[in-house]
Amino acid sequence: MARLDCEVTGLRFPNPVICGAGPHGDSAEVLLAALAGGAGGLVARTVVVPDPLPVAEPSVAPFGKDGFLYCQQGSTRPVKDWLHHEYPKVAGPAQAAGVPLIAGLCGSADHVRTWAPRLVSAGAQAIEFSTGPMPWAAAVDAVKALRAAVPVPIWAKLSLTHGEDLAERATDLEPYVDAFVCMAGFGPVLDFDVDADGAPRLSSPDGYGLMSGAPVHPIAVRAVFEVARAVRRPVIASGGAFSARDVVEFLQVGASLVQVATAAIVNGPTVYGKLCVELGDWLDAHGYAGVSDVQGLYLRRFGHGQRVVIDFEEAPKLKEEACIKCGICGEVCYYDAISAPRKHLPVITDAACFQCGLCVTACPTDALFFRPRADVTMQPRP
Amino acid sequence: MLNTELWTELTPEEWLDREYAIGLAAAREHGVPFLASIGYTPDDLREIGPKVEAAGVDAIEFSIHYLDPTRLVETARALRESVKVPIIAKLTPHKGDLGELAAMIEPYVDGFACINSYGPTLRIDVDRAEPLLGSSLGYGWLSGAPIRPLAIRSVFEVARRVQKPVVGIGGIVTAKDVIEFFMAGASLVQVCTVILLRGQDYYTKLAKGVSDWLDAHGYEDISQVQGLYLKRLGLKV
Repeated sequence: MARLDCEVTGLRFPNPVICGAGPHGDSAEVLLAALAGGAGGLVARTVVVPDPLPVAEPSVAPFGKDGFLYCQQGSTRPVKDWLHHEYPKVAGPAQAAGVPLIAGLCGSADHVRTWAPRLVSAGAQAIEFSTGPMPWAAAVDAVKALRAAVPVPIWAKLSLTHGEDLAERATDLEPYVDAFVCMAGFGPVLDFDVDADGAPRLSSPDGYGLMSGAPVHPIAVRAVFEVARAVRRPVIASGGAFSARDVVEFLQVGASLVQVATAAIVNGPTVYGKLCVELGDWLDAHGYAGVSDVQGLYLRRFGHGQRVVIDFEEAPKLKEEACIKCGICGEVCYYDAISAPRKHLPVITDAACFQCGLCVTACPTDALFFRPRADVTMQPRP
Repeated sequence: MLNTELWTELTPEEWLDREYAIGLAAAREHGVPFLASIGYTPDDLREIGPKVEAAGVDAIEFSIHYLDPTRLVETARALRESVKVPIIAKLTPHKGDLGELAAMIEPYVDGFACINSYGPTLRIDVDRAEPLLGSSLGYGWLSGAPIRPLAIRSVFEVARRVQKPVVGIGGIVTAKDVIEFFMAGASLVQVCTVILLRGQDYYTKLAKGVSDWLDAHGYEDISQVQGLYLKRLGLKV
């Protein structure tokens, strides 16, 4: 059985699938449920200091498959409640289980200076600072204040809400923090209820919100990779991890831990343990001895890019036994390279094929594939 | 879907000598407008625009990815001064208020189209720890259902700021998605990913679905839902 434990920013995690900041970590009760569900670490919901941000309901709405739109930023619970009631209930059990407890925090320099040490006294073993809700200069100041105020590791959570260059932002903060979390919700986005004459789904101005979950996964994978390429410190992934393969993907592009949020809200607190079982099985099946064997695999191979091959010499190949003869590949081919009448195996004309990959994408049974590429450039990171 | 597609792989000559004529003949037969899409620099547009217009297209869409206001205005002006047919600026999202950018070029264009695919993004083949796409870092641009809320926001931002029509693009899968774009202020919608995945017959199904939805909700005309979300927020009458 592959080893799942890992050490990140000086803290030992029994597994890399941890509870990310969100409503599924908004009280001692739900954090303890995440602990029981097998989370390898607990990030308590972001406490906004000195006071919670005002929130109007509804503040969250489902979007698509396994996605959410939301407009609430941080816990509505005041910091004093967290200090006196929530942290004391979680810190003991988390410590006994060997699962790190991390405090989500957001606020200006002056306020984090006051409150961060108290969170640490209440049992937080690291601070995750959300940079999203404030101007960047203020976020940098707050992170510097945090560095001076507490001896524990500081994780900086980055947001992608206005086309920011996350690699540049991570580089700005690198002297003051121990790790980066990529990324907070993506947006702003808008969706409303068409059947109710366009009633907004969220109560925010203009109905705007941020998006989380499966729809943002490709954005988050790129964010993790981009930041991991730019900095030396560990990167912690957050964004639509729903399966062990998603977790492995984050690890391969450079993540050291993977936060789970939307999947825990959708599937409940047992999701962590289930993902860990799946992850262990995947690692075993692929011959890896532990998480560290896959961590950064893609980053090291492709962090400097691959040779761009414009002319593949081969068209997609067919696994006949997997083909259900549905004809979709023939329908989607815009180059007249596939003849696929229903109930017949497709015939691919290599000379007409543009190697765009659309048939490979559209095939419902993965019966079409490109041959493994033999000529990718492998350049280990310096 | 993730893509690393840029432009057509046919040359401008191939389009001018053969493809436009075929497309135009079919469009005339079916009584639908035919639009060309061109790019990219002001000089390119000055050179290609008049040739495409001479080929007989009804309107021209031009795609602009950069967000620098000077270049944006320069590009829109270059095409405006080169052709007489309606021109539509296709805008790229995600930095500030897209309405502000649209307003800058409104004097030079006849309409706007929002949005392009979003990127860069990344998915990898975890079994091989290799890229899925052939681009240098494996990056691709995201299209389809996940980008619809970004596209809806972009259409809304442009529509509330400008007087000229907006064409909505991004993640339409169902008839309800089409209605949502219209409510957010769109006057037309474009579909791409769903057609690539479901085939050319899907336009008819989608249009029928839109008509059924309007019937079921007591609307006689799609113009009755156009801009409904803006009106709801008191932004436009």
